[in-house]
Amino acid sequence: MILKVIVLALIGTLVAGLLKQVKPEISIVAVIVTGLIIIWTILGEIVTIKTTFSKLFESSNVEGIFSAVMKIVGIGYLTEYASSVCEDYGTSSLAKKVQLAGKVCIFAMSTSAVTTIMSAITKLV
Amino acid sequence: MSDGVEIIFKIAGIGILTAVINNILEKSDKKEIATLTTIAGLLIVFAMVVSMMSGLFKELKTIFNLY
Repeated sequence: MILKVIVLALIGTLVAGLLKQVKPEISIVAVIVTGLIIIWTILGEIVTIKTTFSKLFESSNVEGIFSAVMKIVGIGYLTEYASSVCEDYGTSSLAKKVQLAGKVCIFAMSTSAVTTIMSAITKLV
Repeated sequence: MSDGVEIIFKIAGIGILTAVINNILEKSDKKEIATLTTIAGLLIVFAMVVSMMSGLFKELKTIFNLY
């Protein structure tokens, strides 16, 4: 499975390098598409991880926290993906904007996680 | 070779094709049609990518329940 990702990444860089001379605009699209395909290949793994963990957390009452953590992981991953693509093609200012937006979203998400944690703790005491 | 790689090669093909058509049109001094073909090639590629992207991000949204 990891081999597939490696092959895809190498082919993607080759195609992007080739297209850079011939048609620079389409090389950007090639890089974005390879990124998407890599995400698509690892989607199955993410789903299995999520189901096993959610089954684990089903029993305890901290279900809210797990979904918040998954959300934070998702936001972190997607913003990292977008900002690295932006940085690749020179628009590093956009990359920084995306990272800032990701931080703000994660911070907003963490407030709800903190409240659920607090409610869980107060229930325990 | 999953279907993922085919998409990459398709995009590469379209890119090279538009470049070649561009050169031919420029040699036969039809500059304005050359720019049109470039734009057409780009549009085709973007259309293909956008539909793929929206499907993938919808799936990601359901997985990470990001709303």
